[in-house]
Amino acid sequence: MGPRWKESSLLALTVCVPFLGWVSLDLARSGRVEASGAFYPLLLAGMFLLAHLALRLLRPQADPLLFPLTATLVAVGVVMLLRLNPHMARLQVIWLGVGLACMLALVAALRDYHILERYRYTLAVVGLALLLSTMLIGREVNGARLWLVFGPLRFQPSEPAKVLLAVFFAAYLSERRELIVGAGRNFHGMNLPRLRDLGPLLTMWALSLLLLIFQRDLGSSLLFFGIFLAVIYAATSRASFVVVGLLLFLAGAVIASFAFSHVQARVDAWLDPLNPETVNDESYQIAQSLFAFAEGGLSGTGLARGRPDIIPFVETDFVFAAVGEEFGLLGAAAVVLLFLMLAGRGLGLALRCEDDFGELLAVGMTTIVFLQAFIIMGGNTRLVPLTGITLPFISYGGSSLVSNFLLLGLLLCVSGGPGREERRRGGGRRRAGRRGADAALPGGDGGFEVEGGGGVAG
Amino acid sequence: MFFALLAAVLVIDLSWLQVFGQGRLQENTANTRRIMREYAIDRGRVITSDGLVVAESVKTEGPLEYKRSYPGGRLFSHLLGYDSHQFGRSGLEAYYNRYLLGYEPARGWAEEMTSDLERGNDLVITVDSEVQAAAAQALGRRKGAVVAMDPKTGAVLAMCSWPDFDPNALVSRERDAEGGSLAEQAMRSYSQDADSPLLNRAAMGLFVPGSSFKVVTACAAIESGLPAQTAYDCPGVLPVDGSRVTNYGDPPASFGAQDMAGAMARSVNTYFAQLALGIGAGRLVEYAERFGLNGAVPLDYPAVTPSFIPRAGDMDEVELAWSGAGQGKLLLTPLQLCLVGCAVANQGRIMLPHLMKEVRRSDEILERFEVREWRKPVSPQTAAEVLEMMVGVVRSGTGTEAAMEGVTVAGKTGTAEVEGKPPHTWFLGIAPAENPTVVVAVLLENSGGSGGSMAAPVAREVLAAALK
Repeated sequence: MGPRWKESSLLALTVCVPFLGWVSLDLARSGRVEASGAFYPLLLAGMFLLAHLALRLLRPQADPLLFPLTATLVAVGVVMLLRLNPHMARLQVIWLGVGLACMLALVAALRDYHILERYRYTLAVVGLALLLSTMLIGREVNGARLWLVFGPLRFQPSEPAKVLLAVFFAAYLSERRELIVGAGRNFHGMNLPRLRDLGPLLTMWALSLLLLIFQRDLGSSLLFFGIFLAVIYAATSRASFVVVGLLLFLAGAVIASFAFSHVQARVDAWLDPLNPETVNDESYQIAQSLFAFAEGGLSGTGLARGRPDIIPFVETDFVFAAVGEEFGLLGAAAVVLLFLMLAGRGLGLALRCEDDFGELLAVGMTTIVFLQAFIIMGGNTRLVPLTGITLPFISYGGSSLVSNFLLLGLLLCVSGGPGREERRRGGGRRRAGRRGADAALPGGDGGFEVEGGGGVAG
Repeated sequence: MFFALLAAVLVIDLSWLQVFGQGRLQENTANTRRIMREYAIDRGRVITSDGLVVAESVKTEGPLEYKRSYPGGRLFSHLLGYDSHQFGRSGLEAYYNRYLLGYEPARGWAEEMTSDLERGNDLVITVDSEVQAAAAQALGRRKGAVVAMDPKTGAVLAMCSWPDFDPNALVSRERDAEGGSLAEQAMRSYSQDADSPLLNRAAMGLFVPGSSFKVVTACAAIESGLPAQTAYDCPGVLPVDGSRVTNYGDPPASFGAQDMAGAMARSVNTYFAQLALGIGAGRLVEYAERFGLNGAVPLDYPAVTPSFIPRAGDMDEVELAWSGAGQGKLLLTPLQLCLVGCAVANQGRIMLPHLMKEVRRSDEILERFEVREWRKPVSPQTAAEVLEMMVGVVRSGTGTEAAMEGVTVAGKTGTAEVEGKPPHTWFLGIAPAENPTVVVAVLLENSGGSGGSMAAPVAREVLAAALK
């Protein structure tokens, strides 16, 4: 079975999600199934089918799991939004259309993803400009300055910025990897990087702290730094970077939490969300989220039978709590597993990728999705301090959805297709030999591969 | 690997929140979901044994979908209690909460998934609305309580207490012109009222039993080898260990030689004081406890107060002598006195007292109360002898006010001295004496007068309603 046939059979399963959602939502609400409710499931099925057919044409050898996995996440998100806020569900489906179109356009345009290497500095500048723009002309919403507002349109620049910067990291580090790997001193068994190789690390650290301080956005800050660490680790396979980086970030975050009351309040809410003094105030959101999870229990209250609407911003920041309440531990764990499968697939792709840039690009993209998902899911369950970022592919949000589909487009490009074939034939910049450090790749154990799957052109 | 680790940590955290730590979070006072969930349920009705709906749920427009309504108003206030999202629950609303919400009786998985979860189960109670109404009417606006039971089954036929409260006011969601909650105002006025209208005197009020306790003393004596023929000289004043026991009247009435039946009919304190001294504190306390004193009463109603008799070792001669006559440190609930009457009326056996008759869902009976014995304090012979003495009380003694045409009523009056206040008056009534089907205990708190003049007429009305 070819990859595209595999994709179509998996998508057939995915399409069940919105249909089941429609039936169960109608039954819970009115006791009978309204035919008009079939509109959204049919629309989603149609969109997925079109995207699938387009992929058949554009990238017949691309990975067959990536798209069905993300489509399932999107379908779960749309079902949740139909339940929580039908108006947002309609907008979300429109954004889904835009996102899919952008993804296909990217896949079509990027015959060879190595073109991106050439424009790495342009991409970095655009990414940084997007990030910094909110500091200058941003609008503060819910205590964090994350939005640009153009009339009726609101736009969250950090969403595309994270993709652009991850591309830059991949390009920059694939170029420098030999330099960084080769140098350094051995110190108590740990290979310490040279001071000047720490430059990029320190720059990123400073940038993420700036984000934290000026945008008051711990989530994005952690995410950017996390992506950078993952990519640099994949490039150098040196744990010292990760250890030093994490320590630096932790130190910065702790200092920030003492210095800034906004960060401090979030940390307090995290440490003691059920404190009677704050439970109806600063920690209201997280407390309600915890109550929602508790309400769900093992199997959940059932769709539209819980009260996730009590949680403020449930459609964006707390959609995972809504899943936990209405689908229970089983549903919430399933969502975690979907993200883990996506991550496993993405990292497997990186392992099989035959060039440095592609490998680092795949690692970066995968890290974005998984880390962002982890930060917000963990924020919902009080595992980590709460930050206002979206749950990729599930939360409501146009900027987020479109950016994530662009990201998926990049992963699909890396996963296979003419781009790599041409490069092989041309004998371009191929790696001299596989590093012996594959096992050190984060998550690169391939444990989530489906048998016989894979995007490597046969 | 690292990502898999993060995912595992997340799933472990979820399991903690959703399964192992679930209860703790659900019970958190800041968690409003429990209330929202419970008031989204069409809570079951409460129906009297004669088919009157006395509590039901009505749909509202507010954020909580349903609210409680009590068509019986004040008549069932203590019995049913209230079901309020502000003050919680009391009475049967509290005791049978999980049944009324439909959580119990537990259903199988398949039924759980398919059946309508948003409707609770109906509770059918043993109380008869006409007996209850008669009891409330006879009690009138006097502080006190009435309990009526079927001695053969332990079914409570009526239970009322005054002052009562308006349950509809406590579950009201309306607000006054200034935006204050009417329910909160009602609750505040009830809980500040010195007469404690929220207290169910029938099950929670402890009162000195006075002469009504002589029924217990008589049972204890007969079972301890002092038969009904035992005669004592009964002066108006009996000196005991440097103190004295006196009969009623001023000066205290003297009765000469009396046997047990005569002393019961005339309620002679000095007779029962000598009887108690004759059997000793150990036997008296043992028998009082066999009737259920000093222990929990297993009525299906929250917070039934146990009745109290001092321990034998804590009683001196004076205390023992007075206890035999129902005075002293003794304290009984009207419910407990009614249970004493049940033993006498039902051949020495007390059936398990209960208010729940059955739990229904539409026409299907999900659970039915099984009638069974609770205690067997005395032998059938003893019970029959004491019942015969009680017939004498109504025929020619202190309880003639309880007599009815065509029915033999047995009874015992009680007039309990309370220091600094008018006495409580009691009546324990049983009818028909040949084959008792109803036992009633009446208490009038600080009513003054005597058990025979004050409480006996109330008991007669209730017995008449129950025998109809």
